[in-house]
Amino acid sequence: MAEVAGTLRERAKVVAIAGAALGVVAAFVSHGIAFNPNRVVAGEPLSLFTGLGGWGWVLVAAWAAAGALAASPLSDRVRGVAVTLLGGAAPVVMLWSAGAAAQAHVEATSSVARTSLSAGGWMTLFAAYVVIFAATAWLPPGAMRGLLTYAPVIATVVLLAAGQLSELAVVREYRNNADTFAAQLRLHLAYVAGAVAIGLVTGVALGLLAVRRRALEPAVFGTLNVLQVFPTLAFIGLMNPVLSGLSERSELLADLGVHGVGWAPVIVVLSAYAVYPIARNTYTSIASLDGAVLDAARGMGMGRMRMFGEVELPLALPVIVAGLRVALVQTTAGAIVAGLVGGGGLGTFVFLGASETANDLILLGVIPIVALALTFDRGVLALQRALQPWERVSA
Amino acid sequence: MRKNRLRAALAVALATTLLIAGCGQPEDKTTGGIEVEIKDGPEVKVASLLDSEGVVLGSMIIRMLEVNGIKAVDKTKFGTPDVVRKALLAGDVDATVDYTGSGQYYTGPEGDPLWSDPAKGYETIKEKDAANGVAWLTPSPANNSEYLAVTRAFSDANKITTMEEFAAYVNEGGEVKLIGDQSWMDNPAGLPAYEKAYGFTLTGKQKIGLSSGVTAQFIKALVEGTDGVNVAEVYATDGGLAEQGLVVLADSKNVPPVYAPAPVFRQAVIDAYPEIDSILAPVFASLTMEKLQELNKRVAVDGEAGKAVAEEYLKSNGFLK
Repeated sequence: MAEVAGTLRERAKVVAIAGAALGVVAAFVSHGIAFNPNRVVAGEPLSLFTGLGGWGWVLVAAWAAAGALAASPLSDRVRGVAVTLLGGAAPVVMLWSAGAAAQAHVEATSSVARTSLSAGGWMTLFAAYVVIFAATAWLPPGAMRGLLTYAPVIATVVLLAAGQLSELAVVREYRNNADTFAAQLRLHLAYVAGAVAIGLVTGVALGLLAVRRRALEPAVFGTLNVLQVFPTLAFIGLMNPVLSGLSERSELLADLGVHGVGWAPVIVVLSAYAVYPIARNTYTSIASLDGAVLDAARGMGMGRMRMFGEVELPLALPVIVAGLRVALVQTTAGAIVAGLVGGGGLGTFVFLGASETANDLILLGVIPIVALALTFDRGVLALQRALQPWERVSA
Repeated sequence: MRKNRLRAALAVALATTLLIAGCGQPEDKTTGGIEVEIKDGPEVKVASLLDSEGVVLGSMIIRMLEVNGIKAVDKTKFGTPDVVRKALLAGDVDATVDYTGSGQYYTGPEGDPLWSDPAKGYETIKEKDAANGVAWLTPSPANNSEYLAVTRAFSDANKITTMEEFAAYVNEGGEVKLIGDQSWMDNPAGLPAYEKAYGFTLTGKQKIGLSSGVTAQFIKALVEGTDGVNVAEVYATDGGLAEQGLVVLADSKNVPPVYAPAPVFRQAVIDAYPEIDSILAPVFASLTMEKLQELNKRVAVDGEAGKAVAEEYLKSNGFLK
């Protein structure tokens, strides 16, 4: 056990140094920050290092220090705290100074000028994620580790609330859409929740069916496989006449708002996609349970129901939850398609941005989707670990 | 240990819930400080296409209905043209902004010269769509049809400002890469009509056709010279063409169909509120091509919010107090 922990710590070192190196590269990538004359015309792109003035030096210094400290022979605790802090400070410095540069750009030119972060900026955020992820491996679990990990997120929220970032292009897009943003976000979440809930119930049922009636297994997974490879938009297009027909025939469905466009095809299609990972994991986890365990249970005189409830389900649950995790992340990204077919959600910003070639409006839709996907991923992973106390699930 | 993990999972779940709940905000149902009596009758769901002009014109319709006491629901940015049309026919939405020239795709006759006449085009779609329970109200005098645009540098270098000059340039073997909508390139009333009228033909290699493309994308490709693009399909009311250094080639023969934006409602809604046409007619009548260009530019290029631009236009032109 100690050896495993030792190599884990060594690996964390390599990852942390690589992350810091990526941060330095991000600062010098030619497209770091762009000062545009207006919303659609692209200005001259600059690297973060040149674009942020003196703060470019601070950014590079933070990454260099993070890399050097990660390589140093200091104690794990000190290293962990220092590298996590530096890895978190770098993106905050970048955002803070980019916000200031954006304000200066507007004051120097005109109110329609826009300042956008580009590749280098997003790479910086990713580098921070890598460094913090690696460096926290040196820290014992607890409130302190949690605080250090999420400090940059908290700092960003503070910067946003204080208005420091309000001239950054993506925040300007938010302000233009502030009246509908919350509603679209809720709608997006409703699609995810609805589709995954349907997918969970259907998936577990189909998985169990395939286990209990092995002859049906090829039919079940054959169908699900076909559904899985269907392109989303084509799928929605195919649902259109089906759902229109249903709503014409049934007053009840029509009153519920089931039509060829809008929320109904979105939910149908997203649920169909969500079924597969859950059904597959349900089937695999129960089908591959150790025969000896089941024999022992039978030997104890357990009936079918008890065996399922007390042995099979608890043993299979972590794997089923892993399937749920895949379905959640996949649906969070997939729900974007609702924006094209009258269903609203965060996809509305993505597609309106695409039609206006306003990249920052696209980001206004994409950033929350990425944040939600990461949150769901971490959240369900925590649940998975809680359900599986006998071994540590690796991320 | 197990308890800790469960607690962590619960903490994440709680944090997520709070985050989502925190994003909620009270519904803004004001009528801009104007006291109006809400009339009895159905709510009117107003949709639009996913573009700047759709948002601006859709928002104008919504505001005008609201101040006249008609409950309106904002469904602007609803989706692609086919989705909006299907939703209107199915009654999922009650109104949208549509273009007279698009009528050729809804009811036909596709590619007929009648669509190039503003009055005939409007009368035709108005009459034919009535059978679908759809009412076309008074359109704007603007014509949002398709033209060809080049960059100022290209125009100066090759001395091209008109379609005649462009045709001569093509026929002399000049380098051309045109980007545009695939359906416009295929439609006999689209690019082929230009080719026929001015006597030139573009080969497959000289064209990049995008399915469900939008002019903002063509303009971007033209301005940035992506893949050697030097000519782009644009709409007459696209905002900021001059600011982006583009020249629209003059069409002396009035080739393309007329696309006049008009409020389009389900007849059932007009039956419930017969006054809607007279409420919206003066607003749409005031929207000339120049005004639409200016409004679209403020949204797409300057980045103002579409709703605010619509509100400001209605106020400064005396439609709202």
